[in-house]
Amino acid sequence: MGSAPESHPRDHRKLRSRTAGLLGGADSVGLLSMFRGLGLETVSHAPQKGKATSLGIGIFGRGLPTNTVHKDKEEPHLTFPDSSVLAAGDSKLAESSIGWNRTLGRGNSDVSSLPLGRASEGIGRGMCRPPGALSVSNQDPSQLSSPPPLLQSSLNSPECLPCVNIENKEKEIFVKRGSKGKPQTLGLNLIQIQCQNEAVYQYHVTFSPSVECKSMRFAMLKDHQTVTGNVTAFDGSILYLPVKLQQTLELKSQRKTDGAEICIKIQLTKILEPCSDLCIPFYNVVFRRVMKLLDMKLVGRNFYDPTSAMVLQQHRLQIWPGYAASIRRTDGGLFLLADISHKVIRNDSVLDVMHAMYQESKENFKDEFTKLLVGSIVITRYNNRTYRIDDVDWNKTPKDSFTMSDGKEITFLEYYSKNYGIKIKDNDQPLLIHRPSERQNNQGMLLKGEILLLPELSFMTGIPEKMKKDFRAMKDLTQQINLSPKQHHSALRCLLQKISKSETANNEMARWGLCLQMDVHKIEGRVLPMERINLRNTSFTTSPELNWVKEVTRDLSILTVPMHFWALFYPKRAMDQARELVNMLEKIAGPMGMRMSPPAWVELKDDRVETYVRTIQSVLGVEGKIQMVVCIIMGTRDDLYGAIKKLCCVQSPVPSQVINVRTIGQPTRLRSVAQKILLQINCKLGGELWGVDIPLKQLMVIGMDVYHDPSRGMRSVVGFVASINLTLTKWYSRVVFQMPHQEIVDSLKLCLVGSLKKFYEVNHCLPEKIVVYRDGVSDGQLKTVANYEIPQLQKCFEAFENYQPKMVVFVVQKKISTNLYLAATEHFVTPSPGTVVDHTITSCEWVDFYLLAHHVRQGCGIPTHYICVLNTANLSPDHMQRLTFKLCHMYWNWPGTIRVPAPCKYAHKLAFLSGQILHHEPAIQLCENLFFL
Amino acid sequence: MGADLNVAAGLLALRRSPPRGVHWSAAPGKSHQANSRAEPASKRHRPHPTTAGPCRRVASAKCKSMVDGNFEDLPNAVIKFNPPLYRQRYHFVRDVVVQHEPKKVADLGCGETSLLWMLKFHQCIELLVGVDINEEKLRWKKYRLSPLIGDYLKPREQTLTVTLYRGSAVERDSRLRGFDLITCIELIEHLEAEDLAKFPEVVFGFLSPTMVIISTPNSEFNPLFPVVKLRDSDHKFEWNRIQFQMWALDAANRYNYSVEFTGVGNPPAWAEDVGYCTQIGIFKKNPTKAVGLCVPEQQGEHVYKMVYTTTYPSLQQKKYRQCAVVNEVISQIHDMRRELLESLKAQSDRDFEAMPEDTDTSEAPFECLRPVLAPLNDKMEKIPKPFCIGNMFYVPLERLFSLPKVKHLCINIEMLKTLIAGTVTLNSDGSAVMVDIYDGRDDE
Repeated sequence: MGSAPESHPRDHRKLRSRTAGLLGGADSVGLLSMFRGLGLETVSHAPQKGKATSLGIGIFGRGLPTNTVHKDKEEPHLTFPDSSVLAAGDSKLAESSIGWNRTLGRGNSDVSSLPLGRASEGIGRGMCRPPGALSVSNQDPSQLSSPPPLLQSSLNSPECLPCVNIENKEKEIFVKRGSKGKPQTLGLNLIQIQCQNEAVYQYHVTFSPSVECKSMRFAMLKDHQTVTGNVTAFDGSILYLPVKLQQTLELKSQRKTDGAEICIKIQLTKILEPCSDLCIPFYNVVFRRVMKLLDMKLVGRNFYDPTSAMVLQQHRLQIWPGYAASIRRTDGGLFLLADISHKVIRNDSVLDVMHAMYQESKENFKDEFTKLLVGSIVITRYNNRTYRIDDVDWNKTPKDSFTMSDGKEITFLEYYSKNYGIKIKDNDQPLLIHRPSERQNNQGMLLKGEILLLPELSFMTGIPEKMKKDFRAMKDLTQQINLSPKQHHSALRCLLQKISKSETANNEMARWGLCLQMDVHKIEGRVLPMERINLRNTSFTTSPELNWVKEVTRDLSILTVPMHFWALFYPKRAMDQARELVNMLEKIAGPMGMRMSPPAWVELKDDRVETYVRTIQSVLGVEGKIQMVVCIIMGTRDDLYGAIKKLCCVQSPVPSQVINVRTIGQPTRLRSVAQKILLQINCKLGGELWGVDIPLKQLMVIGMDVYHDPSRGMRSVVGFVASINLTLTKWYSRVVFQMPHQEIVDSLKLCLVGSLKKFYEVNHCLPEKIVVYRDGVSDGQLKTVANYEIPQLQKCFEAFENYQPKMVVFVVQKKISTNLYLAATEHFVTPSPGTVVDHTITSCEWVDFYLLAHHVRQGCGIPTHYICVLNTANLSPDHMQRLTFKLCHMYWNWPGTIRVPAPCKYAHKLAFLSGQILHHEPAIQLCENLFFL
Repeated sequence: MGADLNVAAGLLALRRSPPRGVHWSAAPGKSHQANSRAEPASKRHRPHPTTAGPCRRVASAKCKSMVDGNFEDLPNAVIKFNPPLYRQRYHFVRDVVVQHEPKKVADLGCGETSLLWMLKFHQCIELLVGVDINEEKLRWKKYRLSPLIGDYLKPREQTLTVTLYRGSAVERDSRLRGFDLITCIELIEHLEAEDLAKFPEVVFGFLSPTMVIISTPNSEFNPLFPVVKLRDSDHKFEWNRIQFQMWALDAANRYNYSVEFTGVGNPPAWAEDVGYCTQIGIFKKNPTKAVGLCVPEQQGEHVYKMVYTTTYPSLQQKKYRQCAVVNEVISQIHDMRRELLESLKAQSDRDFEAMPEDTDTSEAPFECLRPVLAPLNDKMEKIPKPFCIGNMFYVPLERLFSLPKVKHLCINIEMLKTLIAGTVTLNSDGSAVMVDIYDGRDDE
């Protein structure tokens, strides 16, 4: 029985993912299991006790585990500033997409009197939603009579007063449409769904005398298909039908076990709009069945077609084309959001990979292998499941035994041979450990313990780390998976055609009255006006491609810090390259307005880590005033890089620049590489490169992002970056390490108070408006940010006398599956940077918009989703959109626009460096420099 | 079959079941008193299948017994079987499959296809057929029989086709003739007298498989259940051992089969003489000299309606065989090249130490026509070895063909050549695979 997703009332995310997992199983009970989930979801909206404590942790703790998989390291070459290339792999796995913890629904019983008042209140508030108002609306469902109490208290009581609610959309009216910019027709990867049924009817089913066993309840109800029809969705007590039954129905069944007569009472409780939020979950179940009917295989949450696999033999992997698709409800109605997805799977089993690794390096083999495996996702051969690997157990082998569910001991060898006819070839392989997140079985017992997998029977998914560093290999791969908008669109059309051609698939949809449009949805978006970039003495409007590398290397940066005392460390073998580099730096420094003296040349006798570390240490010790440490290293060496950064960011704080000798090895490219290096050095020294006009005065902009350690249960790292001058060109940064289950708020306060103090130091006043861009938050966590995190942040203001700044908080989501196409021409093309969409596909519950800020070179235009969860500054939609766009111009590592606002990207880099490389908070002395670039 | 039975009347009796295939005149084995439940859960580790596979199967199969109204495995029953009785029956069939390795297997009355699901993992089976009269059930459950992701990643050696038909066990469909094994698990007791009469003629006479397994409730066991009626409302009858054996022996004699009787679900210690809860007959066709009876199977009536059919990826398909061969070849060549590079690096490191003022040795093309790899053994000595010319590394096809895995996949060198030709580069006379020594090492 362990399979029913009995769960914690609070745990929405897990519940959802587990339900999805269940459905993926080859032998799930399909619709029914979905509904077990649904029923619980309703329960979960009973008063959220302990909300504050539990939720606060979740969000920084282990919010989006898969999110971190592809985060890029310090960009060695600036060609992929937004890692869009990497996103194509299995990062799509991370999309949660099914918007089904929105069940909060605004349906309530006393609608008749309420809507007017609330609606007007809604208008009054406009897009400004103070946290107070939010929490009121949050409590609504529990105060109002309908589903939760029914489910809990009257499950077994036969006399339950009939109360029918006609669900009514009483919606707050959000002002979220802007007007600035040039209108443009856009295509979307959303397909409109028409609901042909008038309504979906929700019933409450009681059995008396009560029937405990759920499957028996299912069976008994199934006996009455003549009454209910065969299109049902039932979770054991709540029943959804596309038809209206007689008000209250009493049926009789005989319990087969003891012959007792059971009375089944079916009462109508709600009439739902066919596109009601409550229906979305089972619509998604229906759609999954449609995909199965088309012979697609469910992997994780997406569907793939293994028969069309592309095999890249040279790289020992295969790519399965497929779709990520889910039904969701947005401001524009019901849509199928369909994205093209590719699953990258290795040709080799984990055991093969292990053997190959052993051949290559026998020293540290175990550590290396564990490092490679931890955090990666494997697929097991004998079922369609994926597991995240948390550790490797080197002390166990398949000869060890485990306890089966019936209490018997069996060895792994015997188990696989008996149940799957698989003969294990390597009896001495270690076992892989997957630690599922805590679960409860249906007796409320906590299920703990590990799941052990055999390397021989597991396949790794995703792009191998080694390959990600291999430019040429990545090119081979991206050629396969990066689709042009035109290809993307035709792949979607192909899916729609397949569905429409399959009679069974169509029937499946039609049972619930769902009808898909034949092509993607088109809407009107806008392209925001181009921005002016300001340098020290000049300013210019950006080119349509939004790249200003020429200008920044030709003209004076806003502020340059003279570099008089710097040291250059290089191994003997790289002497020539070091000389060439310095010559070039001297040549190009002038135009940028950078003054520099020759470095202290430090030649190293070899390129061992210790040699670097000891030499740097001794030079820093002697020369107290070294401004900058520049190291040339031979090739990509994570250990050396880490050692240098640890030394220069933590132990002896000094800005540092590590250069791979390969990047400066080609004379033809040296000039442009040196320019980029010098710009970066200037930033690290505290210089300022360029700015944009910021009309908002007394403004502070904050970026926050979270880095999660790949091994679960490890601490997470929060990067916090705040602007401390009026032109948004000086940044203050802090890092917070956060253990799982540890309160984050105190440390966040520290960051905010610290930056406000610094702001005061610089400007002699405190900011009037604070705009926060918060990355690393999933849909399910939005309410947590709004109801818990923000009030805590606001408490910081009490540290200052009489200080009540206005605040705007955006949640930034870049791993989304919404794609934009420019539909101006016959075939779809990539939309221009600055394209914004603020209607139709937007959320019903928040003020939000989609902005594509970066220039898309390859593939489709994936915009970034900005959700405004707080706006006490009353920023208009135009203000929000333009401020965000402006900030996307401000990332100094890239002379162009990037996908997210600069503070977000800075926070991301900072968190990544601290979590992945330093494993420690950087020294406070560096907090005013962009040392982490 | 370590089938255990727990009697929830306080005493937990763990019994050793009698050996399979014994005639029922033999008394069941001696009972052991053992505390089977008190075992501490010292092993915290579960391999994931315990939660994923079996457990879930319990859940779905429980639904089955509920739907069928069969109370053998009810959660609160007085008599509990561990593993549940339905699984003991499936395990019984599975063990027969493991022992006899049939290629063509059909399950009549396959219901929710649980038995088929269990059998499809067995590599010996090449054709697996399920027949049931309930089309809806087949449609709903058919996806569990479709190939898994892993079946594409590691294709089977032999083909496997799984087909589901809607039809009845007493209809003659020639597509089911000539099978190696036909199972009728808890089927005959659902047949009306008229159909039951036709059954032997169809199954033994017409379909005429090498082996038949028939299971049915043993009514002598029923008094141990609280409700002394039929175990399922759809059962038309339940036989005692004598009745079943009479029927079975009669059918066997008529169609030239021999039959053995056994069962699953041991009775509790205090009621040993009632026999197994489920009685099973294993029928084997007697060898006949004249095989003339064997009609070509494809002729004749097709009365069943095909609901679902799927063919698993296997190495018998060129696409997958090619993939497997190329994969192995490339992996072996990489290994050989790596060994070569390692030996070269060791060499060049020594050179570097010797003359610090080096002049870019790595770029200099080197001639090393000498064998670069140490021979594995004497046998390998005779086979041409990999060699280098300039910056190219050559591995003779003959060498590749000598690798056990490659040999297993290809009949001869010609086949090897055809399979890999499109993916790797061969030298001019097509006798060796050539790769750049430094391929993949000098990225931008």
